[in-house]
Amino acid sequence: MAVADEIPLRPLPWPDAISAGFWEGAKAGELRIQKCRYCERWQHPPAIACMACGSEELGFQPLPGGLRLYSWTVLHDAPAPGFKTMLPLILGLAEAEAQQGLLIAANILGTGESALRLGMPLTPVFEPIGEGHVLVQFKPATGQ
Amino acid sequence: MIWEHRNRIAVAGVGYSAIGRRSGRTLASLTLEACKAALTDAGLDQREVDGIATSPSMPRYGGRKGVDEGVDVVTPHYLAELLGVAPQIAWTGSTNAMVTQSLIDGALAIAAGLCRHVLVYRALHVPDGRYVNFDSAFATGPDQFLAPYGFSMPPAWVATVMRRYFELHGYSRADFARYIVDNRDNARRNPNAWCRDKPLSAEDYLSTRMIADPVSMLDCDLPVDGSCALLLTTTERARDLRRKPALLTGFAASTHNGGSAIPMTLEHMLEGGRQVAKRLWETTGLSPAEVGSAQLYDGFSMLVVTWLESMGFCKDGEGLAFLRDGHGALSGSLPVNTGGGALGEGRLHGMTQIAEAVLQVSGRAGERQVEGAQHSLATISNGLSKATAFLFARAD
Repeated sequence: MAVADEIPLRPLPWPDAISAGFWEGAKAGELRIQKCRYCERWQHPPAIACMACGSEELGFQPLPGGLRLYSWTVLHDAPAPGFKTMLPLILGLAEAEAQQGLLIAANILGTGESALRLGMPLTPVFEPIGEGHVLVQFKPATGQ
Repeated sequence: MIWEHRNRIAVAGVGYSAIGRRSGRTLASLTLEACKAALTDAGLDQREVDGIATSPSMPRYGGRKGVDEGVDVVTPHYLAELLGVAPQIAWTGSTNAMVTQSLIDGALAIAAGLCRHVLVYRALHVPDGRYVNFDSAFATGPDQFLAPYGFSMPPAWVATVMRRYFELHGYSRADFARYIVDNRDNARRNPNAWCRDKPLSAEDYLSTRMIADPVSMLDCDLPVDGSCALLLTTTERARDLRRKPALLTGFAASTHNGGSAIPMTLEHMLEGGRQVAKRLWETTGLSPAEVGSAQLYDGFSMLVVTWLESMGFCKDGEGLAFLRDGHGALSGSLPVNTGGGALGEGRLHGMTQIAEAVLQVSGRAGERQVEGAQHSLATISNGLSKATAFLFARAD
Protein backbone atom coordinates (compact mmCIF):
# COMPACT_ATOMS: atom_id res chain seq x y z
CA MET A 1 0.00 0.00 0.00
CA ALA A 2 1.45 3.30 -1.03
CA VAL A 3 0.56 5.73 1.71
CA ALA A 4 1.62 8.71 -0.37
CA ASP A 5 -1.11 7.91 -2.91
CA GLU A 6 -3.80 8.12 -0.27
CA ILE A 7 -2.77 11.43 1.25
CA PRO A 8 -3.97 14.35 -0.87
CA LEU A 9 -0.60 16.07 -0.88
CA ARG A 10 -0.85 19.68 -1.86
CA PRO A 11 1.69 21.89 -0.14
CA LEU A 12 -0.02 23.80 2.66
CA PRO A 13 0.75 27.49 3.17
CA TRP A 14 2.77 28.12 6.31
CA PRO A 15 1.76 31.57 7.58
CA ASP A 16 4.42 33.70 9.24
CA ALA A 17 4.47 37.07 10.99
CA ILE A 18 4.40 38.88 7.64
CA SER A 19 1.76 36.83 5.88
CA ALA A 20 -0.62 35.94 8.73
CA GLY A 21 -3.07 38.72 7.88
CA PHE A 22 -3.64 37.31 4.39
CA TRP A 23 -4.37 33.78 5.62
CA GLU A 24 -6.56 35.00 8.49
CA GLY A 25 -8.57 36.85 5.88
CA ALA A 26 -8.93 33.66 3.85
CA LYS A 27 -10.24 31.80 6.89
CA ALA A 28 -12.76 34.61 7.40
CA GLY A 29 -13.82 34.37 3.76
CA GLU A 30 -12.31 37.69 2.80
CA LEU A 31 -9.53 38.68 0.41
CA ARG A 32 -7.30 40.88 2.56
CA ILE A 33 -4.23 42.43 1.00
CA GLN A 34 -1.33 44.26 2.59
CA LYS A 35 -1.47 48.04 2.26
CA CYS A 36 1.05 50.72 3.13
CA ARG A 37 -0.38 53.21 5.62
CA TYR A 38 2.09 55.83 4.48
CA CYS A 39 1.86 55.84 0.67
CA GLU A 40 -1.39 53.83 0.50
CA ARG A 41 -0.08 51.38 -2.07
CA TRP A 42 -1.30 47.80 -2.02
CA GLN A 43 1.28 45.04 -2.33
CA HIS A 44 1.16 41.29 -2.74
CA PRO A 45 2.75 39.06 -1.66
CA PRO A 46 3.11 40.82 1.69
CA ALA A 47 6.59 41.97 2.67
CA ILE A 48 8.38 43.43 5.70
CA ALA A 49 8.34 46.90 4.19
CA CYS A 50 6.52 48.80 1.48
CA MET A 51 8.29 48.06 -1.79
CA ALA A 52 7.31 51.49 -3.10
CA CYS A 53 8.35 53.80 -0.23
CA GLY A 54 10.16 51.65 2.36
CA SER A 55 7.66 52.31 5.12
CA GLU A 56 7.16 49.57 7.68
CA GLU A 57 3.70 50.87 8.57
CA LEU A 58 1.72 48.14 6.90
CA GLY A 59 -1.62 46.50 7.52
CA PHE A 60 -4.13 44.18 5.88
CA GLN A 61 -7.41 45.46 4.46
CA PRO A 62 -10.18 43.94 2.39
CA LEU A 63 -9.33 44.56 -1.26
CA PRO A 64 -11.95 46.84 -2.83
CA GLY A 65 -13.06 46.63 -6.45
CA GLY A 66 -13.06 43.74 -8.84
CA LEU A 67 -10.48 41.31 -10.16
CA ARG A 68 -9.62 40.65 -13.79
CA LEU A 69 -7.81 37.72 -15.36
CA TYR A 70 -4.30 39.00 -16.16
CA SER A 71 -2.83 35.74 -17.46
CA TRP A 72 -2.86 32.00 -16.91
CA THR A 73 -1.21 28.68 -17.65
CA VAL A 74 -2.56 25.14 -17.70
CA LEU A 75 -0.81 22.11 -16.23
CA HIS A 76 -1.69 18.66 -17.51
CA ASP A 77 0.68 16.89 -15.13
CA ALA A 78 0.12 17.21 -11.41
CA PRO A 79 2.88 19.28 -9.78
CA ALA A 80 2.28 17.25 -6.58
CA PRO A 81 0.12 14.17 -5.96
CA GLY A 82 -2.67 16.18 -4.39
CA PHE A 83 -3.35 18.04 -7.61
CA LYS A 84 -4.24 14.90 -9.60
CA THR A 85 -7.98 15.36 -9.12
CA MET A 86 -7.76 18.97 -10.32
CA LEU A 87 -6.28 18.28 -13.78
CA PRO A 88 -6.10 20.09 -16.05
CA LEU A 89 -5.00 22.54 -13.40
CA ILE A 90 -5.45 26.21 -14.27
CA LEU A 91 -2.99 28.56 -12.64
CA GLY A 92 -4.17 32.13 -12.95
CA LEU A 93 -3.10 35.63 -12.12
CA ALA A 94 -5.78 38.09 -11.11
CA GLU A 95 -5.14 41.81 -11.45
CA ALA A 96 -6.87 44.08 -8.95
CA GLU A 97 -8.94 46.90 -10.34
CA ALA A 98 -7.92 48.83 -7.22
CA GLN A 99 -4.33 49.14 -8.46
CA GLN A 100 -2.86 48.43 -11.87
CA GLY A 101 -0.21 45.74 -11.73
CA LEU A 102 -1.32 44.31 -8.38
CA LEU A 103 -1.43 40.59 -9.11
CA ILE A 104 -2.60 37.64 -7.03
CA ALA A 105 -1.79 34.06 -8.01
CA ALA A 106 -4.26 31.23 -7.46
CA ASN A 107 -6.09 28.46 -9.30
CA ILE A 108 -9.05 29.29 -11.48
CA LEU A 109 -11.81 26.92 -10.39
CA GLY A 110 -15.19 26.09 -11.83
CA THR A 111 -14.37 26.63 -15.48
CA GLY A 112 -12.44 25.12 -18.36
CA GLU A 113 -9.45 26.43 -20.26
CA SER A 114 -11.48 27.30 -23.35
CA ALA A 115 -13.65 29.74 -21.38
CA LEU A 116 -10.70 31.84 -20.22
CA ARG A 117 -10.34 35.33 -21.66
CA LEU A 118 -7.82 38.03 -20.87
CA GLY A 119 -9.50 40.60 -18.64
CA MET A 120 -12.49 38.44 -17.70
CA PRO A 121 -13.93 39.29 -14.28
CA LEU A 122 -13.03 36.94 -11.45
CA THR A 123 -14.33 36.57 -7.96
CA PRO A 124 -12.50 35.10 -4.98
CA VAL A 125 -13.61 31.84 -3.45
CA PHE A 126 -12.22 30.26 -0.33
CA GLU A 127 -11.18 26.63 -0.40
CA PRO A 128 -10.51 24.70 2.82
CA ILE A 129 -7.68 22.27 2.12
CA GLY A 130 -7.31 20.58 5.47
CA GLU A 131 -5.65 21.10 8.81
CA GLY A 132 -7.44 24.42 9.18
CA HIS A 133 -5.87 25.92 6.05
CA VAL A 134 -7.99 27.90 3.63
CA LEU A 135 -6.75 28.98 0.21
CA VAL A 136 -7.86 32.03 -1.69
CA GLN A 137 -8.96 30.80 -5.12
CA PHE A 138 -10.71 32.41 -8.07
CA LYS A 139 -13.66 31.56 -10.25
CA PRO A 140 -15.29 33.46 -13.09
CA ALA A 141 -17.57 36.19 -11.79
CA THR A 142 -21.21 35.66 -12.69
CA GLY A 143 -23.85 38.21 -13.56
CA GLN A 144 -21.47 40.43 -15.53
CA MET B 1 28.59 58.82 -20.42
CA ILE B 2 30.89 56.42 -22.26
CA TRP B 3 32.58 53.85 -20.03
CA GLU B 4 36.20 54.90 -19.73
CA HIS B 5 37.48 51.32 -20.07
CA ARG B 6 35.51 50.65 -23.22
CA ASN B 7 37.30 48.04 -25.37
CA ARG B 8 40.27 47.93 -22.96
CA ILE B 9 39.28 44.61 -21.37
CA ALA B 10 38.98 41.53 -23.54
CA VAL B 11 38.07 37.87 -23.55
CA ALA B 12 41.16 36.06 -24.76
CA GLY B 13 40.06 32.47 -24.38
CA VAL B 14 36.92 30.32 -24.35
CA GLY B 15 36.78 26.78 -23.01
CA TYR B 16 34.07 24.16 -22.79
CA SER B 17 33.98 20.85 -20.99
CA ALA B 18 32.20 17.95 -22.61
CA ILE B 19 28.44 18.59 -22.34
CA GLY B 20 26.49 15.57 -21.11
CA ARG B 21 23.53 14.44 -19.09
CA ARG B 22 24.04 12.37 -15.94
CA SER B 23 27.54 11.81 -17.24
CA GLY B 24 28.82 10.47 -13.93
CA ARG B 25 31.59 13.06 -13.87
CA THR B 26 31.98 15.44 -10.96
CA LEU B 27 31.41 19.13 -11.34
CA ALA B 28 35.02 19.63 -10.26
CA SER B 29 36.21 17.53 -13.19
CA LEU B 30 34.01 19.37 -15.70
CA THR B 31 35.12 22.77 -14.36
CA LEU B 32 38.78 21.86 -14.59
CA GLU B 33 38.29 20.66 -18.15
CA ALA B 34 36.59 23.93 -19.17
CA CYS B 35 39.12 26.17 -17.41
CA LYS B 36 42.09 24.33 -18.85
CA ALA B 37 40.50 24.52 -22.29
CA ALA B 38 40.07 28.30 -21.90
CA LEU B 39 43.72 28.66 -20.90
CA THR B 40 44.86 26.50 -23.80
CA ASP B 41 42.65 28.52 -26.14
CA ALA B 42 44.27 31.72 -24.91
CA GLY B 43 47.74 30.20 -24.99
CA LEU B 44 48.24 31.10 -21.34
CA ASP B 45 49.94 29.03 -18.65
CA GLN B 46 47.80 28.51 -15.58
CA ARG B 47 50.62 29.89 -13.46
CA GLU B 48 49.64 33.30 -14.83
CA VAL B 49 46.04 33.17 -13.58
CA ASP B 50 45.60 35.63 -10.71
CA GLY B 51 41.84 36.10 -10.56
CA ILE B 52 38.90 33.67 -10.41
CA ALA B 53 35.17 34.39 -10.31
CA THR B 54 31.89 32.55 -10.60
CA SER B 55 28.35 32.17 -9.31
CA PRO B 56 28.78 29.07 -7.13
CA SER B 57 25.17 28.03 -6.88
CA MET B 58 22.82 25.28 -7.95
CA PRO B 59 19.72 26.97 -9.38
CA ARG B 60 17.34 24.17 -8.49
CA TYR B 61 13.85 25.14 -7.43
CA GLY B 62 12.38 23.31 -4.45
CA GLY B 63 13.77 20.36 -2.56
CA ARG B 64 17.45 19.95 -1.85
CA LYS B 65 19.52 22.54 -3.68
CA GLY B 66 22.88 20.89 -3.17
CA VAL B 67 25.85 22.79 -1.79
CA ASP B 68 28.60 20.19 -1.80
CA GLU B 69 31.90 21.52 -3.07
CA GLY B 70 33.02 19.85 -6.27
CA VAL B 71 29.70 18.04 -6.62
CA ASP B 72 26.96 20.69 -6.67
CA VAL B 73 29.14 23.82 -6.81
CA VAL B 74 32.75 24.78 -7.49
CA THR B 75 33.79 27.92 -5.60
CA PRO B 76 36.71 30.08 -6.75
CA HIS B 77 38.74 29.06 -3.69
CA TYR B 78 38.23 25.39 -4.42
CA LEU B 79 39.07 25.86 -8.09
CA ALA B 80 42.27 27.69 -7.14
CA GLU B 81 43.35 24.61 -5.21
CA LEU B 82 42.32 22.24 -7.99
CA LEU B 83 44.40 24.22 -10.45
CA GLY B 84 47.28 24.42 -7.96
CA VAL B 85 47.37 28.20 -8.26
CA ALA B 86 45.97 29.30 -4.87
CA PRO B 87 49.10 31.18 -3.71
CA GLN B 88 49.07 33.48 -6.74
CA ILE B 89 45.36 34.39 -6.73
CA ALA B 90 45.06 38.10 -5.98
CA TRP B 91 41.29 38.41 -6.42
CA THR B 92 38.26 36.15 -6.27
CA GLY B 93 34.64 36.96 -6.94
CA SER B 94 31.50 35.05 -5.99
CA THR B 95 28.14 36.44 -6.93
CA ASN B 96 24.61 35.58 -5.88
CA ALA B 97 23.44 36.92 -9.24
CA MET B 98 23.86 35.11 -12.54
CA VAL B 99 27.47 34.22 -13.39
CA THR B 100 27.59 37.04 -15.89
CA GLN B 101 27.78 39.45 -12.95
CA SER B 102 31.17 37.78 -12.40
CA LEU B 103 32.19 38.92 -15.86
CA ILE B 104 31.45 42.52 -14.83
CA ASP B 105 33.24 42.04 -11.50
CA GLY B 106 36.25 40.45 -13.21
CA ALA B 107 36.50 43.23 -15.80
CA LEU B 108 36.40 45.83 -13.04
CA ALA B 109 39.00 43.96 -10.99
CA ILE B 110 41.31 44.03 -14.00
CA ALA B 111 40.51 47.70 -14.68
CA ALA B 112 41.32 48.47 -11.03
CA GLY B 113 44.68 46.74 -11.37
CA LEU B 114 43.90 44.05 -8.80
CA CYS B 115 44.72 41.23 -11.19
CA ARG B 116 45.58 40.59 -14.82
CA HIS B 117 44.28 37.20 -15.94
CA VAL B 118 40.83 36.24 -14.65
CA LEU B 119 39.01 32.96 -15.16
CA VAL B 120 35.22 33.37 -15.18
CA TYR B 121 33.40 30.06 -15.30
CA ARG B 122 30.06 28.40 -14.71
CA ALA B 123 29.51 24.77 -13.88
CA LEU B 124 26.10 23.12 -13.74
CA HIS B 125 24.86 19.59 -13.51
CA VAL B 126 21.67 17.58 -13.68
CA PRO B 127 20.72 16.70 -10.11
CA ASP B 128 19.08 13.45 -9.02
CA GLY B 129 15.32 13.32 -9.52
CA ARG B 130 13.43 16.18 -11.08
CA TYR B 131 15.14 19.52 -11.53
CA VAL B 132 12.05 21.27 -10.26
CA ASN B 133 10.91 19.29 -7.28
CA PHE B 134 8.84 21.12 -4.73
CA ASP B 135 8.35 18.16 -2.41
CA SER B 136 7.62 19.75 0.97
CA ALA B 137 4.30 19.31 2.74
CA PHE B 138 4.40 22.96 3.77
CA ALA B 139 5.27 26.04 1.72
CA THR B 140 7.06 28.84 3.54
CA GLY B 141 8.24 32.33 2.63
CA PRO B 142 7.43 33.39 -0.94
CA ASP B 143 6.50 29.78 -1.79
CA GLN B 144 3.42 29.92 0.45
CA PHE B 145 1.71 32.02 -2.25
CA LEU B 146 2.81 29.75 -5.10
CA ALA B 147 3.28 26.09 -4.18
CA PRO B 148 -0.23 25.52 -2.73
CA TYR B 149 -1.51 26.38 -6.19
CA GLY B 150 0.97 24.31 -8.16
CA PHE B 151 2.73 27.51 -9.22
CA SER B 152 6.03 26.23 -7.90
CA MET B 153 8.12 26.14 -11.05
CA PRO B 154 9.73 28.69 -13.38
CA PRO B 155 8.17 27.18 -16.54
CA ALA B 156 4.72 28.01 -15.12
CA TRP B 157 5.78 31.57 -14.39
CA VAL B 158 7.10 32.14 -17.89
CA ALA B 159 4.02 30.40 -19.31
CA THR B 160 1.91 33.25 -17.92
CA VAL B 161 4.26 35.69 -19.65
CA MET B 162 3.89 33.86 -22.96
CA ARG B 163 0.13 33.50 -22.57
CA ARG B 164 -0.34 37.22 -21.87
CA TYR B 165 1.92 38.12 -24.80
CA PHE B 166 -0.10 35.82 -27.08
CA GLU B 167 -3.42 37.25 -25.90
CA LEU B 168 -2.33 40.90 -26.11
CA HIS B 169 -0.79 40.62 -29.56
CA GLY B 170 -2.72 37.83 -31.24
CA TYR B 171 -0.05 35.13 -31.46
CA SER B 172 -0.06 31.39 -30.88
CA ARG B 173 2.57 28.69 -30.45
CA ALA B 174 2.65 28.20 -34.21
CA ASP B 175 4.29 31.62 -34.46
CA PHE B 176 7.21 30.36 -32.37
CA ALA B 177 7.92 27.30 -34.54
CA ARG B 178 10.12 29.07 -37.09
CA TYR B 179 12.42 30.43 -34.41
CA ILE B 180 12.68 27.12 -32.56
CA VAL B 181 13.64 25.36 -35.81
CA ASP B 182 16.06 28.11 -36.92
CA ASN B 183 17.66 27.97 -33.51
CA ARG B 184 18.11 24.21 -33.68
CA ASP B 185 19.69 24.59 -37.10
CA ASN B 186 22.20 26.95 -35.51
CA ALA B 187 22.89 24.46 -32.72
CA ARG B 188 23.63 21.82 -35.35
CA ARG B 189 26.51 24.02 -36.53
CA ASN B 190 27.88 24.31 -32.98
CA PRO B 191 30.23 21.50 -31.90
CA ASN B 192 29.59 22.36 -28.22
CA ALA B 193 25.81 22.01 -28.46
CA TRP B 194 24.05 19.14 -26.73
CA CYS B 195 21.50 19.13 -29.58
CA ARG B 196 24.06 19.25 -32.44
CA ASP B 197 23.02 15.79 -33.68
CA LYS B 198 19.29 16.25 -33.14
CA PRO B 199 17.38 17.75 -36.05
CA LEU B 200 14.01 19.32 -35.29
CA SER B 201 10.97 20.22 -37.38
CA ALA B 202 8.11 22.62 -36.80
CA GLU B 203 5.83 19.57 -36.42
CA ASP B 204 8.10 18.26 -33.67
CA TYR B 205 7.79 21.57 -31.86
CA LEU B 206 4.03 21.77 -32.17
CA SER B 207 3.48 18.20 -30.99
CA THR B 208 5.93 18.10 -28.11
CA ARG B 209 4.87 17.63 -24.50
CA MET B 210 3.58 20.63 -22.60
CA ILE B 211 5.24 21.58 -19.35
CA ALA B 212 2.93 24.50 -18.56
CA ASP B 213 0.74 25.36 -21.52
CA PRO B 214 1.76 27.22 -23.72
CA VAL B 215 5.33 26.41 -22.62
CA SER B 216 6.51 23.02 -23.92
CA MET B 217 9.65 20.97 -23.38
CA LEU B 218 11.18 22.66 -26.42
CA ASP B 219 10.60 26.14 -24.96
CA CYS B 220 12.81 25.32 -21.96
CA ASP B 221 16.58 24.93 -21.94
CA LEU B 222 17.79 21.47 -21.08
CA PRO B 223 19.68 20.79 -17.85
CA VAL B 224 23.12 19.41 -18.66
CA ASP B 225 26.34 18.46 -16.94
CA GLY B 226 28.89 20.91 -18.19
CA SER B 227 31.08 23.91 -17.70
CA CYS B 228 32.16 26.89 -19.75
CA ALA B 229 35.05 29.18 -18.89
CA LEU B 230 36.35 32.49 -20.21
CA LEU B 231 39.81 34.00 -19.80
CA LEU B 232 39.58 37.73 -19.25
CA THR B 233 42.52 40.11 -19.45
CA THR B 234 43.45 43.55 -20.71
CA THR B 235 43.13 44.15 -24.42
CA GLU B 236 46.80 45.11 -24.48
CA ARG B 237 47.81 41.78 -22.95
CA ALA B 238 45.33 39.86 -25.10
CA ARG B 239 47.01 41.09 -28.27
CA ASP B 240 50.10 39.10 -27.23
CA LEU B 241 48.13 35.90 -26.68
CA ARG B 242 47.17 33.15 -29.09
CA ARG B 243 43.68 34.19 -30.22
CA LYS B 244 42.20 37.30 -31.66
CA PRO B 245 40.49 38.82 -28.61
CA ALA B 246 36.87 39.92 -28.20
CA LEU B 247 36.84 43.42 -26.77
CA LEU B 248 34.41 44.23 -23.99
CA THR B 249 32.77 47.42 -25.21
CA GLY B 250 30.46 47.73 -22.25
CA PHE B 251 27.85 46.17 -20.02
CA ALA B 252 24.76 46.99 -18.01
CA ALA B 253 22.83 45.28 -15.23
CA SER B 254 19.19 45.40 -14.22
CA THR B 255 18.02 46.62 -10.86
CA HIS B 256 14.32 46.44 -11.67
CA ASN B 257 12.78 43.93 -9.31
CA GLY B 258 9.13 44.46 -10.04
CA GLY B 259 8.09 42.35 -7.06
CA SER B 260 4.86 40.64 -7.93
CA ALA B 261 2.72 37.60 -7.27
CA ILE B 262 5.07 35.49 -9.36
CA PRO B 263 8.75 36.11 -10.11
CA MET B 264 8.26 36.89 -13.83
CA THR B 265 5.70 39.14 -15.46
CA LEU B 266 5.70 40.48 -19.01
CA GLU B 267 5.52 44.17 -18.17
CA HIS B 268 8.24 44.05 -15.52
CA MET B 269 10.57 42.01 -17.72
CA LEU B 270 10.17 44.53 -20.52
CA GLU B 271 10.68 47.46 -18.14
CA GLY B 272 13.83 45.91 -16.63
CA GLY B 273 15.16 45.16 -20.09
CA ARG B 274 14.52 48.72 -21.26
CA GLN B 275 16.48 50.05 -18.29
CA VAL B 276 19.37 47.72 -19.17
CA ALA B 277 19.18 48.85 -22.78
CA LYS B 278 19.25 52.54 -21.88
CA ARG B 279 22.38 52.08 -19.78
CA LEU B 280 24.08 49.83 -22.31
CA TRP B 281 23.55 52.12 -25.28
CA GLU B 282 24.51 55.19 -23.26
CA THR B 283 27.73 53.76 -21.83
CA THR B 284 28.88 52.19 -25.10
CA GLY B 285 27.81 54.96 -27.46
CA LEU B 286 26.27 52.32 -29.70
CA SER B 287 22.75 51.52 -30.85
CA PRO B 288 20.81 48.42 -31.93
CA ALA B 289 21.61 49.21 -35.56
CA GLU B 290 25.28 48.53 -34.89
CA VAL B 291 24.74 45.02 -33.54
CA GLY B 292 25.65 42.28 -36.03
CA SER B 293 24.38 39.32 -34.02
CA ALA B 294 22.37 39.11 -30.85
CA GLN B 295 22.83 36.35 -28.30
CA LEU B 296 19.63 36.71 -26.29
CA TYR B 297 19.14 34.62 -23.18
CA ASP B 298 16.87 31.68 -23.81
CA GLY B 299 16.49 29.77 -20.60
CA PHE B 300 12.96 29.95 -22.01
CA SER B 301 12.13 30.75 -25.62
CA MET B 302 9.86 33.61 -24.53
CA LEU B 303 12.79 35.57 -23.15
CA VAL B 304 14.25 35.94 -26.64
CA VAL B 305 11.14 37.90 -27.60
CA THR B 306 11.16 40.18 -24.55
CA TRP B 307 14.85 40.93 -25.07
CA LEU B 308 14.31 41.72 -28.77
CA GLU B 309 11.71 44.29 -27.76
CA SER B 310 13.30 45.73 -24.65
CA MET B 311 16.74 46.16 -26.23
CA GLY B 312 15.14 48.17 -29.01
CA PHE B 313 15.35 45.79 -31.97
CA CYS B 314 11.57 45.54 -32.28
CA LYS B 315 8.58 47.51 -31.14
CA ASP B 316 6.37 46.15 -28.38
CA GLY B 317 4.43 43.17 -29.64
CA GLU B 318 6.51 42.76 -32.80
CA GLY B 319 9.35 40.60 -31.47
CA LEU B 320 7.69 37.29 -32.21
CA ALA B 321 6.66 38.37 -35.71
CA PHE B 322 10.31 39.29 -36.31
CA LEU B 323 11.35 35.75 -35.44
CA ARG B 324 8.36 34.14 -37.18
CA ASP B 325 9.31 35.91 -40.40
CA GLY B 326 12.88 34.63 -40.20
CA HIS B 327 14.68 37.90 -39.45
CA GLY B 328 16.47 36.22 -36.53
CA ALA B 329 17.78 33.30 -38.62
CA LEU B 330 21.44 33.02 -39.51
CA SER B 331 20.60 34.51 -42.92
CA GLY B 332 18.28 37.16 -41.44
CA SER B 333 18.81 40.84 -40.74
CA LEU B 334 19.75 40.17 -37.09
CA PRO B 335 21.00 36.63 -36.50
CA VAL B 336 19.84 35.60 -33.02
CA ASN B 337 21.48 32.94 -30.85
CA THR B 338 23.81 31.96 -33.64
CA GLY B 339 25.16 28.96 -31.71
CA GLY B 340 21.71 27.64 -30.83
CA GLY B 341 21.52 29.34 -27.45
CA ALA B 342 20.82 27.43 -24.29
CA LEU B 343 17.87 25.72 -25.98
CA GLY B 344 20.37 24.04 -28.26
CA GLU B 345 23.54 23.99 -26.22
CA GLY B 346 22.17 23.16 -22.76
CA ARG B 347 21.74 25.10 -19.56
CA LEU B 348 24.98 26.94 -18.76
CA HIS B 349 23.27 30.02 -17.37
CA GLY B 350 24.24 32.68 -19.85
CA MET B 351 27.77 31.51 -20.57
CA THR B 352 26.33 30.21 -23.85
CA GLN B 353 25.39 33.73 -24.92
CA ILE B 354 28.69 35.26 -23.80
CA ALA B 355 30.84 32.58 -25.42
CA GLU B 356 28.95 32.85 -28.70
CA ALA B 357 29.27 36.66 -28.78
CA VAL B 358 33.01 36.26 -28.19
CA LEU B 359 33.39 33.65 -30.93
CA GLN B 360 31.38 35.77 -33.38
CA VAL B 361 33.43 38.96 -32.98
CA SER B 362 36.69 37.05 -33.02
CA GLY B 363 35.73 35.32 -36.26
CA ARG B 364 35.79 31.87 -34.74
CA ALA B 365 32.18 30.78 -35.15
CA GLY B 366 32.92 28.34 -37.96
CA GLU B 367 29.89 27.26 -40.00
CA ARG B 368 27.69 29.73 -38.17
CA GLN B 369 29.94 32.77 -38.55
CA VAL B 370 28.08 36.03 -39.26
CA GLU B 371 30.28 37.86 -41.74
CA GLY B 372 31.24 41.47 -41.24
CA ALA B 373 29.77 41.81 -37.78
CA GLN B 374 31.65 44.39 -35.75
CA HIS B 375 29.62 43.95 -32.57
CA SER B 376 27.73 41.15 -30.86
CA LEU B 377 25.29 41.61 -28.03
CA ALA B 378 24.74 39.14 -25.20
CA THR B 379 21.82 39.50 -22.81
CA ILE B 380 21.40 37.28 -19.78
CA SER B 381 18.45 36.29 -17.60
CA ASN B 382 14.96 37.77 -17.89
CA GLY B 383 15.37 41.54 -17.65
CA LEU B 384 14.61 41.69 -13.93
CA SER B 385 17.14 42.33 -11.17
CA LYS B 386 20.43 40.52 -11.78
CA ALA B 387 19.91 40.44 -15.53
CA THR B 388 22.91 41.71 -17.50
CA ALA B 389 23.84 42.70 -21.03
CA PHE B 390 27.22 42.91 -22.75
CA LEU B 391 28.50 44.27 -26.00
CA PHE B 392 31.61 42.78 -27.53
CA ALA B 393 33.59 44.32 -30.38
CA ARG B 394 35.89 42.86 -32.96
CA ALA B 395 39.57 43.74 -32.45
CA ASP B 396 40.97 45.58 -35.43
